[in-house]
Amino acid sequence: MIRRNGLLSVVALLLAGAVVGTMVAACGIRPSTVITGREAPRGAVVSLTVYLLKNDALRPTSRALPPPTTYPSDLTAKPFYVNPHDDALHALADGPTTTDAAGGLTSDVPVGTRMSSTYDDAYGNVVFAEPPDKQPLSQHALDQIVCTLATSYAGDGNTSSTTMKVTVIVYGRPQPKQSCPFAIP
Amino acid sequence: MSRLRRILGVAWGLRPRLVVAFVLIAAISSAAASGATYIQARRVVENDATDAIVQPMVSRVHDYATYGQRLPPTQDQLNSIASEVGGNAVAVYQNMRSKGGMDLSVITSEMRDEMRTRTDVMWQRIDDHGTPAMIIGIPVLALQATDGWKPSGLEVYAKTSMSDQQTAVEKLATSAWLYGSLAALFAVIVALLAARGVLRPVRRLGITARQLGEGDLSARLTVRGNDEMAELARTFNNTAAALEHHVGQLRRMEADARRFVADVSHELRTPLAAMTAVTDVLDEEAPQLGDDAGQAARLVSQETRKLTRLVEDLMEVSRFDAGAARLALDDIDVASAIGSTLRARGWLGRVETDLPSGVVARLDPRRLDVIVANLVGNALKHGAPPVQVRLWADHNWVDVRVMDSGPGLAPEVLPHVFDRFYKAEFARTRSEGSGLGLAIAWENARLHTSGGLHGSLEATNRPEGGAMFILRLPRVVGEEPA
Repeated sequence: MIRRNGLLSVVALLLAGAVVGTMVAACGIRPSTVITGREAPRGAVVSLTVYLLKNDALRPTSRALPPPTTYPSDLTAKPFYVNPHDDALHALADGPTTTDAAGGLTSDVPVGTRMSSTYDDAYGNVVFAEPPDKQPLSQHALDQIVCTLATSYAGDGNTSSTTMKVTVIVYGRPQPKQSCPFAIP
Repeated sequence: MSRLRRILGVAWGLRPRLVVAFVLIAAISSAAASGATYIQARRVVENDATDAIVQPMVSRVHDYATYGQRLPPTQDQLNSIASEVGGNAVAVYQNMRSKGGMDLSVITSEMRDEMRTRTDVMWQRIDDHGTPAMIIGIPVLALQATDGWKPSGLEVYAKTSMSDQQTAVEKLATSAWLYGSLAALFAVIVALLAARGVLRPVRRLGITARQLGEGDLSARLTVRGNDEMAELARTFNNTAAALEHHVGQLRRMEADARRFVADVSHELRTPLAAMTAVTDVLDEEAPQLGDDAGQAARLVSQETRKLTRLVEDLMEVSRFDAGAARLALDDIDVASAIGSTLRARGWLGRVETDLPSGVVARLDPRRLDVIVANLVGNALKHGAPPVQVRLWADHNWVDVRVMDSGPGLAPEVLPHVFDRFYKAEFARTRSEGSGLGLAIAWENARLHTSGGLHGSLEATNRPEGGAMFILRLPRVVGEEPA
């Protein structure tokens, strides 16, 4: 009995030592492995996205960013504000490239349509579109314009732009306000 | 191992064992409790720090720094991203980095790899030259036309010192140690109190058991409470009571037996006195009787004398047993007392004596005579001549030695020499001795007591052969008890 007590004491001592040792060894803030958390912020823009058509269905296509606007170094006046989202609209107005065309992509937006976007208190987001020869714009063309603009906004990291509503004004005639029928990621 | 066991288990008393057990229990439980609390609290501190540092950083990056940033960036663009995020943040794009800010070399390769592929914010706690720090890596995503959101190559890094958190955790550890030590101290106090509670009855039990062992059969424990110790005390008391009862019974029986012997001896004395008177007549008449009748008369007379002597010895022994024997002390010259003993028995010529005169002691002369006569008589009867009697004395003791030159005492006989009715040779059972002589001599020697000194009589064998009896009596004998 006494011997067992002795053995018990030894075991207890070792246990206590281990506990205390662990505590001492693990003192303070410990280095960790790489911990991943919430999703990273969005908003860098590496390319433009324009919407073309394939068999009458919208299809996002990538376009390179235009080179940054450079101003003469001796410029004294402040330049006009240039809306960066117009770059995507301009790329859309350029029509499908030869590669696109080879892949069966078409566009209902006539090549050379002049477009610029803005925000208007009465209409909200607005795209002024002036196709050459005052041609009317088909619904597909309107979809292309709305989706291209909305995706451009979304690319800045503005999450609400995936459901953004846009009014296209063709030569002063506002078309019905609509959102992009294509799911913007 | 066995030594350790001995140190831990056997060599320690109950008190240290209890203390150690209590302290261990306290240490283990407080270590477990504070250890678990500590680990949990540290996790909370670490997570809080993560929330407090990572979330605002990500929000700033998202809200101000990367909104619509077109890539590849210019150096100015990177610089402005970094300054919008603030602190020591660094904006990185491929081989470019913003000016100033943190040193990128502290970023682990593991984190760089993860940054390239993952679309999540990530962070890592590192040891930055001895101080804990957190590196936050934020990849900025870009929308790809067909693939959705992918890392754009623009990354923002920031480093935050966690020394505040470190301080908080150290405080936690300090308080864990402090409260652990307090718990251990408390355990020691509780253990000592418990040990006292347990050991006090044990000590009382020990004291009472010792009293019992020393002959105080009435020693009892007071039973307190109703616990195991009380049960033990009760058992002890019952055992002691049973022991007292049995010993009392034995003593009564022994006393009865002794009284019976004394009574028998006493009752035999009167008829023996009459018979002795008759045998004296028979002795005188024996020569006138015939051969057979004369021999018978002599035999009767001889046996009667022996019987008388036996009865006298029995009565003497009974007096010792009854504690009725008293010393009649007198200042005597021991040498002349021994000389007169020898002379009276007619042994002077047969005994060599070495009796220096001038040894005066306060002894009972009659008892000294009995002892010396018995020892010398035995030596003459059973030992071989020369028989020597030697007297020697110092300040405290009178030492009388009676030696013979016979074969000595057999080793198995030695321990029993002074037993009653013990006879060394069975063949001599019918010798004229009563078998009580040496026992009476021994009792007489014991009776001489002075202060702490007890008279003694010992039997031994001389190295050169022959038995030797050593009588030692205290030289200054105390006053006769009143």
